[in-house]
Amino acid sequence: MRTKRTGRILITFFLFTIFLLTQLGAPLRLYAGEITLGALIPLTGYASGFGENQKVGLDIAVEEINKAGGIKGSTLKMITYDTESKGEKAIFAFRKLATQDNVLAVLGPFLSTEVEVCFPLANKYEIISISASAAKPGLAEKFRPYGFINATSDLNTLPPAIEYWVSKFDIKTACIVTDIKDALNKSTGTEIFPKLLEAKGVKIIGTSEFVTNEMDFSAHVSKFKALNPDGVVVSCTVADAAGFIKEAKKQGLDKPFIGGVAIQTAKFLELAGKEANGTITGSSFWVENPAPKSKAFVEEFRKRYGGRDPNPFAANMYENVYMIKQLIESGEVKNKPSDLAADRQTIQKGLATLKGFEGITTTFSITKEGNVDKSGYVLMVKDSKWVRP
Amino acid sequence: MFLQQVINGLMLGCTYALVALGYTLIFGLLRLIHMAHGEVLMIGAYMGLIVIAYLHGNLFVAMVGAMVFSALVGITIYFVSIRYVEKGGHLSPLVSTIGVAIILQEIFSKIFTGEKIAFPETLVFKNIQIGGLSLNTVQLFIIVLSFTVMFVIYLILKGTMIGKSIRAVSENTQTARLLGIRVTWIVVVTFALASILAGIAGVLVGIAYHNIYPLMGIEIGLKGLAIIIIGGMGNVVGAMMAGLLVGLMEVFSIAYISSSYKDAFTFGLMVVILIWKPEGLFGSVVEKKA
Repeated sequence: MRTKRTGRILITFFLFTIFLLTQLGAPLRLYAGEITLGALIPLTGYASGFGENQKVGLDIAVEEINKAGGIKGSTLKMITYDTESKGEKAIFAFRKLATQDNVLAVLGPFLSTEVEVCFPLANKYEIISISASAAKPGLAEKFRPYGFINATSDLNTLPPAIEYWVSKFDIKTACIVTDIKDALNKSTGTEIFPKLLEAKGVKIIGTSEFVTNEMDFSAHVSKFKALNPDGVVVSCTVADAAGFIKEAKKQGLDKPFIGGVAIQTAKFLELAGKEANGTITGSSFWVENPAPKSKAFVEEFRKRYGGRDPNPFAANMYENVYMIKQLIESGEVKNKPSDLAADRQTIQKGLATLKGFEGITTTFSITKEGNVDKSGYVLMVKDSKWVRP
Repeated sequence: MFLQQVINGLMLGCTYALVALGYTLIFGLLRLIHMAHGEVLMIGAYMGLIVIAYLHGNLFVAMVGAMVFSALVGITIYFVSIRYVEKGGHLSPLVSTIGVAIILQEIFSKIFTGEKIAFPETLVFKNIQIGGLSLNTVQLFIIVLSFTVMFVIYLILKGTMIGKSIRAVSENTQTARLLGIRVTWIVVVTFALASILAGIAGVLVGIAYHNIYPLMGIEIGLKGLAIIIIGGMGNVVGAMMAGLLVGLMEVFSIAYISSSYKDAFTFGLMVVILIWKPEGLFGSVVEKKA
């Protein structure tokens, strides 16, 4: 009996010691010439595809910075946690980053649902959280002063594209086909496009709806053909947009096509082939951008990710790392344990007033609502490439 | 637009009819739903793609390749998942074919990725104007080919010795066996025929609708099931007619009613038929086995 009890006490004591050591170890490790940032990315769960893409963008930024000598001589260290695409996991991870890992700033989380639960914590712990993807309107406004969002929705990026489309092709009437099962395309096709088009005086004379992975678009196309619109809006995922446009050209519905940011991918070009030519969209990130910084990023990304293209969320994440770097370099960040709270506030003040930051998507500023003032590139398919018309 | 939509509906209906025909042949023989039949179609489509894109064959070679390969796949499925599990009652082969379907989907997702890929365009594409109606060569090809195939199957069943044997086994397996028909052989031939139809349908889907992907068989397979219920289980003519009917119905629901409810119409009709006319629209009472 006695030995058993001693054993229990010893083990409990042992565990308690380890616990104490981890509590001591964290801040000690943190300030040995390192600047530590946290990241929250969904690496598993339904958004994992996007998360993986974004993680590559993050890794490229961190490795570039450290290869070039770090920030003010300190190595940049990332602590990345997987949110599993779930809000409750994101909360847990955010708390850990803010209170145990003692990071200077949090990059992420990814999803709007995660942002809604993490931004209140950002305000509570007085540490900035900057999402590179949450596109639900009004999120950052609600969580001032520590919540920031470097991402755009179709509502921000489509206006220039629509402007170009309407004036170039003299569009007066349009038809819209929408994938109503896909949340992003549903809102783009049933809310954003109608709103923006009506503001331009374009009349919507027909709509058609379907659910993701439709096989046969012939009936939708014939319906539109009978209405004879000046232009056609495709608010669907890549494969369906390609299928619709191919069928349309086949039936002789050869009208100017425009789509949401969802179709701005290499896969769309591959699937639609030469029929993709002339299709227009608006996006905050232009993969074929010849600007040196942007081009270098895309090339490095393709090298690391099996030739695949970065999506805008990866580019935004890359920018977020560089924004923090610039703020640390220009501000009063002391990077000592006793100054952590003050350092976090310095970063917040710097970010809230950041103007004219040269990113890889474009040059932009942070608005007083905590968003970015990015607009969209007008992109058009020419010879199976996304170019600016 | 009305005539245009009729053509669209016929095109979709032809694909459905070919799939449903295969289902119904197998059901008639074994009183068994072959849940991997949609996957045979998927494999046919990929076979067509391989022949055209990688082996640089023309459409005719692709079609033949798809037919042969589909037939082999169909026969293999029979031996792997039906023949030796049949004794466990009707539920076991049903479940084992679902298993095979999932395995095939996974294999093709591994080889070709789960994403859609573009089916190479091989037919010379030409628009033909007849009055206000614009037909194209692809549509004509698909409709003519499907009707020919269906007619040939009908002739085989009615006129040839093999066809008569298939019908005899469907009617009553025991009696057919007593009369000297080699039942296993007939079952294998039927699986081959049904799978050939699915293979042809797969290539046609590729030509008509541009993209193929490893999960494409699921939806078409389920539609095929609904169609044989609408047409009458085991009823060959019923399956063809119901296939065309469902194709037309879906197209018209997109064109004139509500585009997002097209599948609801098909499966709604199926439920109504099951309640009011369980033998199917075109069926007399088929259930002759006790």
